[in-house]
Amino acid sequence: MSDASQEPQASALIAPAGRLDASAVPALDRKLSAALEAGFRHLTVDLSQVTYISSSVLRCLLLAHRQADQQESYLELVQVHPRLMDTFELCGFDRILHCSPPSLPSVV
Amino acid sequence: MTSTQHEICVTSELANLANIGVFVSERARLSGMSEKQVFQVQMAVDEACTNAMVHAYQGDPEGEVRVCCYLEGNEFVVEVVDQGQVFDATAVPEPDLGKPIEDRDIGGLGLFFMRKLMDSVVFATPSEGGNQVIMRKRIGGRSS
Repeated sequence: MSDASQEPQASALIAPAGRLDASAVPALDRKLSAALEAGFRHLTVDLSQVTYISSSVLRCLLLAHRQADQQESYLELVQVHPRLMDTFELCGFDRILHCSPPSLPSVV
Repeated sequence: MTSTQHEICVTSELANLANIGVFVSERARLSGMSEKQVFQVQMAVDEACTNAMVHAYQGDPEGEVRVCCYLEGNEFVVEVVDQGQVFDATAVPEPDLGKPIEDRDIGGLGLFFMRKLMDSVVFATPSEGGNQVIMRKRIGGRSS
């Protein structure tokens, strides 16, 4: 019988809030990198409380997406406000970054 | 005809981007723009100011960034001025959004957004040095 507490967690949730401009990149990057380096296979970024995303943050998400792909992890963005989705669509990121409901995440 | 100019002047700390965003959004909203247009103007200005802080001042938080808003006819005009190193925006290639993600160069997105979201973006080098970006958006015009 396996001990569930000894098994690596499969998924993680990051839930930033507010305005994500260039000043928010270091903290977000640290969280994304920590989750990916910890080996989470499914990383969900909940954007429900985010009101703004700048290109610096999009770059940060794109780099995290690349890293996730390289280690065969899955990064998705959920609860994206329509106005933020406009931004994603404008630069084509909506075709790159996945959007789907999270599966039993645990907070990083 | 040009309206009264409204201005905010901050140091080049990234933490000041939020204050600039509030200022520009208020001015754009008062000009009669839709909320979507207000969001777009705010984003374009945020990108211009980030360029000033990151590239012109190269991260030095002691620089000065000045943002000035006014109406000219049916256009909302925003000028972003810094005294940092001259930044040649024309030397920055547009991102190739058609490339696969693994091949894509991730630079140039800020300038891409500025050009996409505003009707006009002009880069100038004032005689006293630094950089000046003049952006215009027609009130009630395109918002995509």
